[in-house]
Amino acid sequence: MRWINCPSHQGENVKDLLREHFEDSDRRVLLLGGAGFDPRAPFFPLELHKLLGNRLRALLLKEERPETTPDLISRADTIRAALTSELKDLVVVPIDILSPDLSVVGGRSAVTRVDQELSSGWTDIVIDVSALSSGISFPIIRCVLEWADQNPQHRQMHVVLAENSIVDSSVSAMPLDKSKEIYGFKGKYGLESTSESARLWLPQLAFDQRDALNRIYDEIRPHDVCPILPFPSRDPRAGDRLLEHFTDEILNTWQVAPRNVIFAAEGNPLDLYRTVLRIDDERTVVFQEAGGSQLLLTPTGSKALALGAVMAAIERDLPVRYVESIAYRVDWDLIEQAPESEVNLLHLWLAGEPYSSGRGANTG
Amino acid sequence: MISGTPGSGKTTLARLFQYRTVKTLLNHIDLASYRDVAAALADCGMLRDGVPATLTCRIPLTGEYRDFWEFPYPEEIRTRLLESMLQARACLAWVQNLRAAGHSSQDVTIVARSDAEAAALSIGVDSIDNLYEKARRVELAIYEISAALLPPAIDRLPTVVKAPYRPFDVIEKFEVDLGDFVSELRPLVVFDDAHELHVAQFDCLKSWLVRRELRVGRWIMTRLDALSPEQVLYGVPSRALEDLMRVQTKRDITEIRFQSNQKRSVDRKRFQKMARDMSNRYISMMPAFDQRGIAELASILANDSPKLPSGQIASLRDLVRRDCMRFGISEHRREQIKQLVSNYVKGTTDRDVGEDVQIAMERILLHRYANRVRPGDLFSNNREDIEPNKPLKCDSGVAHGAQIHLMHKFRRPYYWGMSTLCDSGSNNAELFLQIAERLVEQAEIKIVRNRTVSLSSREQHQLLRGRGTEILKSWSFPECENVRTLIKLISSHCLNETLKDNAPLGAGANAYGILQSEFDELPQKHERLAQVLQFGIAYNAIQLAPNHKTKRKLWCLVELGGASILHYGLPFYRGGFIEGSVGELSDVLARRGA
Repeated sequence: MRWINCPSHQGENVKDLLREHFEDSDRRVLLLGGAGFDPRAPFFPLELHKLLGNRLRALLLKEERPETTPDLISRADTIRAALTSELKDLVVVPIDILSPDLSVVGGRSAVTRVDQELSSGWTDIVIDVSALSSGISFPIIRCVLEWADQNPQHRQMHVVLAENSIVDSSVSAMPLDKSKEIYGFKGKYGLESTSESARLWLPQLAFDQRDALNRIYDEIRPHDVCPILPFPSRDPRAGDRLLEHFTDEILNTWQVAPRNVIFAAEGNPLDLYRTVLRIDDERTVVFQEAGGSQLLLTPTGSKALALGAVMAAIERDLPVRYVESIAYRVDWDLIEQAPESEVNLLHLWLAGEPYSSGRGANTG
Repeated sequence: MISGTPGSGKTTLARLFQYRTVKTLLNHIDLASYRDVAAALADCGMLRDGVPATLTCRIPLTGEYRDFWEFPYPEEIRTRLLESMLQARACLAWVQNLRAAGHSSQDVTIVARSDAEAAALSIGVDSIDNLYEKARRVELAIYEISAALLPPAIDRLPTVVKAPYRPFDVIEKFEVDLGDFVSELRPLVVFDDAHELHVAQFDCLKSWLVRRELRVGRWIMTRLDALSPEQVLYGVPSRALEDLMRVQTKRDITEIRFQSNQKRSVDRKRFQKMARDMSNRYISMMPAFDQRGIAELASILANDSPKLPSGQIASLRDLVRRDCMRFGISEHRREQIKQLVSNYVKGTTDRDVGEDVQIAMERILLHRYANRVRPGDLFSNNREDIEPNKPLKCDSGVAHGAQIHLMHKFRRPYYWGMSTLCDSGSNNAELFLQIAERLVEQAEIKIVRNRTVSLSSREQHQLLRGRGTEILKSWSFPECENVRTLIKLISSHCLNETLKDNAPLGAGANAYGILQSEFDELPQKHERLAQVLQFGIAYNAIQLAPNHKTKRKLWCLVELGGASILHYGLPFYRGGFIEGSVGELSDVLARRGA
């Protein structure tokens, strides 16, 4: 497992780590993040700006969707203005998520743009997934990882997240009418060589994703389903409520066997990462003589858990299937009432020194 | 080229025609239900003397192919990659079909064009194993390009991709040795879901497939939203197809729309028959119903007309009495109106004309009478002799109007019975099944609880309305929010008209009428509205009934679909509409910010 000892940090430890790591004046940092309406968007850019000043370049992607409402546009403009006034070297790039004929093109566009920025001039690339959708963050993570792996001793790759469950639950996605693999995560799905494989689908359950998940199920028709529930989690009953919400799907449509539920620690992506890899290892042995096994992931809901999914998907080249959103609707009243203490910081060090020098990795 | 709305049966047919499916059917031909299907396949030429005539495979053109249009290559290369991938996948699918049907490699010979030896060898025509292996290599090479984060530069494309690969130009037929004789199979590929492609890709695909050099049979199936607004709204052929048809003879291209051009009453009868048959087949496969000996969906839907409780009937009578007083209608006139109703009831086959409906009918006629006399006359001293300016008539329109009024005023069940259930499907099999599913579920629960299976009219009504609401809320196709906005506007107008006390449209309205001449200019003058309507039609939310003649004018009716009708409590009877305009619909979209 590539990331079995991945350095990961939570809460205030994230700030401490960043402060300590970026003290070195030789570090030149490219920050990749989101610049939309999400209130979490400015957190890490401003935090890193305080630490790095001129050594920071921020390339922020503004996801454009066809049915964005005026309130989201106005909030995005406010955030952009705040960032522009603080960050010296800031570029905000609009990325069309959908083409005029509603085909998903955002991932490809984002990677093409990010690729133009990658150079040996950076010592560190930080990907802030707080305000990026998975259709954009996943391909970027993969792209930057490939960059970092070309010169692991001198290229560091970090992923950071400011997670806020209240913001997550205040944002409702309006899904497209079809699913597909996230760009760069086809994982040999649909190929002749995997057509006879036993397909196991691992969907991460989320309250507003019922239609999307059912759509994916109808399209991929897996042989088995193992839903992923967050446990332990900040809300100890989150898993129970998700089970209740998806009762019909679990018992009838997807016919999930009672023991086939995966519990993954919400704030620790490595837990899900390890679990997925273990399942993949075991199934490879079992189905070796019977057409092989194929795991399909669908990361919705908690972004921290989604990071575990993307790590597993990259390591084992697993397909990741999702339904892109044509628009978002936001309950601003709920967001504005949310206390700041609800924000949970997360950092993962995915490439660079911890993997090349052989030193022990700390998790804290 | 076959086009139709979701749920019209395109994919079902494509799956049925696949070689492995047909072979499975023939292997179980002793089953009565399979014999009917086999007869239908023989009628359309898929079977010949009891054996398949074609080697058919289905290739769904999912979003993966659309991604090819985003490759950073010239159009010619992108098109060539698409064509190669489709041909590779077709070859793989044909061989998989043959193997699934139990044929070994030794049994199958591929017959190539006599003048294409070199090309034949390059695609591996000497055996199905070689054909398969070559196709697999081409598929993998192109797949890796599409799966890469950054596609390779043109000069770094793999050789297997750059070399020509044209099985469709080469393969004439497959011969299968069945022991007694050799069966000749013409290869046929069905490209399903072609609407997923980019418009330019779609046109390139059609241009390629229409070429006479191709030996294999080829069908394209698409949803209506792949077509332009003009094609959807007016049913005209695509421009590319028109161009092609000018240079080819018409027999080379056949365009089939899964929307009937027949009379609507004919369509309705045919759909009702199909829906009943389909639902009965489903019911008979469900163990819970099978154990109870229930083989028809209609048998679990009670047909007893609902009745208002006596308290509500008293309220209704009171309403009538007050209306009479308000309009100054004499007792003599009222008796005449009652007699009209009574005569109708004696002569009608409509079973839902109980006491409550009759009182409501009487009320409608009273209001009609009041509208047809001059206001002053009602209060004159000679009231008994006032004749209306147009004689009153009591017909089925009045009865249906009464029934729907009772639903809204007294929550009397209105949606019940097999006929209503069939109508709720809007002539779409998938929609019908989605709606019927809820009734079947409820009946199954009753069986499990050992209760009487039959669903009362009230139960049916509540379940159907609830299901309509659920379907409306679950829409998530492009432009669905705007379609909902239009439907809300149309329904609001229809409801106002339907609930008028004199029921001017009889059963009521469920459509919005636009003058045909105004509608004809819609795609040019109101592009946004045309696009929204296009998606509404493509996803069965609304239907169009063009050239509807009323009051000596031609109208295009925008009719609500079954789910909307259930949700808003409108009638299923077609023909009642509100006069409107393109401008009003455009304005409501503009206010929404569309």
